[in-house]
Amino acid sequence: MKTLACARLLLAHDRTSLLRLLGIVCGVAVGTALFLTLWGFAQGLTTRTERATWPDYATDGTAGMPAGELTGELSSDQIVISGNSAVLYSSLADHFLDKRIGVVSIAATADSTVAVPGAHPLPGPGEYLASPAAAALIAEYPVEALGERYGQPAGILGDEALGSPGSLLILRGMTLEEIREQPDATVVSSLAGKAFSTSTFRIAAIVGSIAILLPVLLLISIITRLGAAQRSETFATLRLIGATPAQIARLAVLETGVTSLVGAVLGAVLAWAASPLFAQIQIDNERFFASDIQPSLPFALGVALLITLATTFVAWVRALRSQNTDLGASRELMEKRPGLWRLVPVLLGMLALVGGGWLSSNPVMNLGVSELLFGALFVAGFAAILIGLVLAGPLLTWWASRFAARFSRGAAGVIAFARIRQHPQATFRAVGGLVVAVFVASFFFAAITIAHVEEEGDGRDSQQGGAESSSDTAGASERSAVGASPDLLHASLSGGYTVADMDAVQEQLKAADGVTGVAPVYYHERPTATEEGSNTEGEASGGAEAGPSEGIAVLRARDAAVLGIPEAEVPDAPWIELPPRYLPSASVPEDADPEASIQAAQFADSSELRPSYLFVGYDGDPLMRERIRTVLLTSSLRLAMVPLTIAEMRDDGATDSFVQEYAYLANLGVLIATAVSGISMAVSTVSSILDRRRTLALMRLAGMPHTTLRRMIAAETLLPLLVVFLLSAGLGFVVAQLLLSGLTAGRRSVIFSLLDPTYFVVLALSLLLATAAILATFPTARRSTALSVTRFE
Amino acid sequence: MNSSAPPSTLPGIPPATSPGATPLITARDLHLAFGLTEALRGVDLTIRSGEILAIMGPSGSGKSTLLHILAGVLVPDRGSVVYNGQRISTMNEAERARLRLAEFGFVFQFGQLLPDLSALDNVSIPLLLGGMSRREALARSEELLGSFGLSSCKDKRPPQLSGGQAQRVALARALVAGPRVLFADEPTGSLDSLSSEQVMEMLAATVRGFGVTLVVVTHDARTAAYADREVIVRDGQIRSGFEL
Ligand SMILES: Nc1ncnc2c1ncn2[C@@H]1O[C@H](COP(=O)(O)OP(=O)(O)OP(=O)(O)O)[C@@H](O)[C@H]1O
Ligand SMILES: [Mg+2]
Repeated sequence: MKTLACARLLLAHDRTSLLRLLGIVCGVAVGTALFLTLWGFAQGLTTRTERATWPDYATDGTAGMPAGELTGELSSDQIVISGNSAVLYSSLADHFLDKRIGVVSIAATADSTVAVPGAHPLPGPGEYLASPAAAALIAEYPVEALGERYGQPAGILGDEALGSPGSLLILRGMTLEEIREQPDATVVSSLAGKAFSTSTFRIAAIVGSIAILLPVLLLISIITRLGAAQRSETFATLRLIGATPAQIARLAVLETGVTSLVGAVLGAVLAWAASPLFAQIQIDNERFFASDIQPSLPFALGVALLITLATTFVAWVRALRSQNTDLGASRELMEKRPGLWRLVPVLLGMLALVGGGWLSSNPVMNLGVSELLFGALFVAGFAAILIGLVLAGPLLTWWASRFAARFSRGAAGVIAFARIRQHPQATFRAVGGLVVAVFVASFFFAAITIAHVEEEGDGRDSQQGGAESSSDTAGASERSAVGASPDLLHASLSGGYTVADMDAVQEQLKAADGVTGVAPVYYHERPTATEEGSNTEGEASGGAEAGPSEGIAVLRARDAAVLGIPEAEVPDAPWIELPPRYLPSASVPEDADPEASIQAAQFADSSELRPSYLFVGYDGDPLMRERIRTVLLTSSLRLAMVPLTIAEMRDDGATDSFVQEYAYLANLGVLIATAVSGISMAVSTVSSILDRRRTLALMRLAGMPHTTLRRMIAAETLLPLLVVFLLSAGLGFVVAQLLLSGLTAGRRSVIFSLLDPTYFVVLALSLLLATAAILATFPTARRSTALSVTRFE
Repeated sequence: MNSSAPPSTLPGIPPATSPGATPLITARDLHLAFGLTEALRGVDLTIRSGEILAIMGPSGSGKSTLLHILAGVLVPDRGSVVYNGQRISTMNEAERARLRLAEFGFVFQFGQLLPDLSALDNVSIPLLLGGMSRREALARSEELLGSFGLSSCKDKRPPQLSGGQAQRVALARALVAGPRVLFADEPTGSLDSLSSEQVMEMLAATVRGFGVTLVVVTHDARTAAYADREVIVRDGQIRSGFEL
């Protein structure tokens, strides 16, 4: 009680001290809230992904049986269904206007006990369940535009099947016979999503969370030190008049403990209460279920308590340590010269990464264990380097300041570098967050170059499920479909048709409303190529991958106009060869002539032709396009995928890629870390000015101009920043290199020419933010050293 | 600690002119109030070139306030200060800052040295601010510190200096750029009588040697004894003044 009274008297006696305490409370509250909110989002992304990906993993895992084994000559009563609990399943990405709708088709065997997320009971054949957002979309438009595609509405899909409140998902019931006709139909015995497709992504998520949360913790530590110089003067005076070290430490604990506790609990409650609001924030174009990102109240309070304990403990240690220094009212705490031990964690981290890499290329144990060990070593090494950077920063800054001091000529430089030399930790703390952000950004952008390589290479990511084939197609279409008209739906056919069949379909479709033209495209295999046999699935993909050297795409000359081919270019023949530039999914060789003239097609008999595409032109009205799509989808035609325009395919390719999604999240993370760090920097710079306000004000009084003060602030902040900026960028690349070679047993490395330009934008942005933070402190610096507010004796 | 003799020449300062003849600073009818507190209530004061003027008076009487107005740190509510023909009281802050840097030096009771800088660097700052090269500034500062008997302290930082040493470093810093007027506010206020005598002796000898005008605020009669003239401020007004 006596300590309390004493503390109140000493630490909260006037407006300035009260303001300082209030500042600490608010700062800790904001920091804690930020920490919990970011944590919540990280959790939310994981749980959301886990819930939303159940349709993607049905083909994965041991229970799944590839579609090829179900189709063909087998009839439904011949399908071998393991046990009595199984459903048949297929998943497609449908398009409506500019939206994508996930469509899962399902047929349960009579005695199936497989739990399908969100469906109680399962929709019967011809019925569908829609997610709330999908139901709203269907209700908004005429049935012939959208609703008809899926059958009869039978209710709403439960939230446990959806990633976010805005998810567009349809669960369509079918008979066993119908579902056999679907591409990718599979037998599954359980349906559950995964938060991470591979352990690499799990590592990335852990590492990313550390990288975002660390700057927030730095911010909190900076805030609790607001006005530390002033306080240590008070403590020194107290010692002078006879307070024991224990009494002073108790005072420090009380002050920091109470302010941190109030702030942290406030922040925790704020984060908890505001999460429904934050759930409205869209990440990756989707909102969140509030329950996904809301930290539980006990957890939030637990974090608040931990933060309080940590800050209080640090304050206690500092107060005790400060008692070892010389006594003197005006003598401020001296920082010790940073020791070489500060380099140890970074070196250990590097060692862990190199060791992990060696292990993965020379597996001494069973491969699975090696892989696991590599993951553990990598996470540990990465964390060590991340924290090690923050630890090594003061030492490097100290070295740099000694070096820079030799070349500094002006008063500002002399003052600034002396300050850094005397307070390397304090000056570095200001930029610590940015250093972390730059390190992570460099690491990420370097590591992601591998993905670009794999995407262009074999890049079939088997984890992607139904949407995957379309995204691959779209990747190729960037280059190939340059000649295709935008108002054209490309329906990829799933085989079994003859030329005569297609002619009939063409006539029927032409009569439909809004259709401007219909063109069946066939695949003709060159005699040199081996026949694929009657496997219908093989036929469809064979058609899609028709390269100019193996086979040709062929269509009737009279249909060329549908594709937008000028009449003058069409040779006078019944059948013409279609150059790959008109096809959505052919791979065009680099040396292919984009202007190559169109040739007449050479083949013996039209029975050699296998229908592969149906191109349907429409009048450009989006709603009309949707109606035509509905007609195609509900027709008896067997389609390999949903008919799409070239733009939609490209869109699929752009949004579906895992790499893109992670790049987006990483950018977001770096942005947040950078912003938090910018705030830290401003706070800590201002606080360092306030700590020196008397002396600086006296210098101003003696005639030191504002510009010197400003230059001094800039030098104090920019030197530590630039030194470690380069180091952390470099280390980021090195660590990425170690990761890639470790993951691929040395086969892959960072490719600098593939560095995303966004990286440089991020770098520029963090420098810009740092500059902004410095500029933001100028007015405060000017005000706090103004002659009118300081008394000089 | 030997109280070293004052330097015979101060770098960069022109030789002394005859003291006491021409008025250097003329203050007329100065008024300044901080809220309800009227710190100055009509002060008239003329300071002559080269003299040592002591401003005395009880605590809270307005001595520091007067000093700050004379030096162009504070602006009076009413009245005028003319320095060497320039009207300080109507200059803007930047102009006054330039004037202070070029023409004035300051010594305070304590805490004016930058704690992170060595004594030598502290002394060199005004020269650097004036645009001198680092090397030349350091050479000159070193010379001055030496003449103040502080060579052994030049690499120490202020927290490592004794109170008297710190005040002498502050004095060196105030003088290094060759000011015409030195303003000192209780320069010996935080020192014991021995160090305070050392500092005052050095201060008086130095300013006399180079014809620097010294305005020193003090409540200590022994400090005031070094002055040519003393004025007493009481309740914001000059009550009496007499010449020695
Ligand atoms: N910045 C300020 N704000 C409010 N009041 C002030 C301020 N500066 C001075 N005063 C008041 O003006 C009066 C004169 O103050 P000043 O500092 O000039 O006294 P002083 O003669 O220097 O006293 P001391 O010998 O104790 O240093 C005092 O009553 C003081 O309280
Ligand atoms: Mg005073």
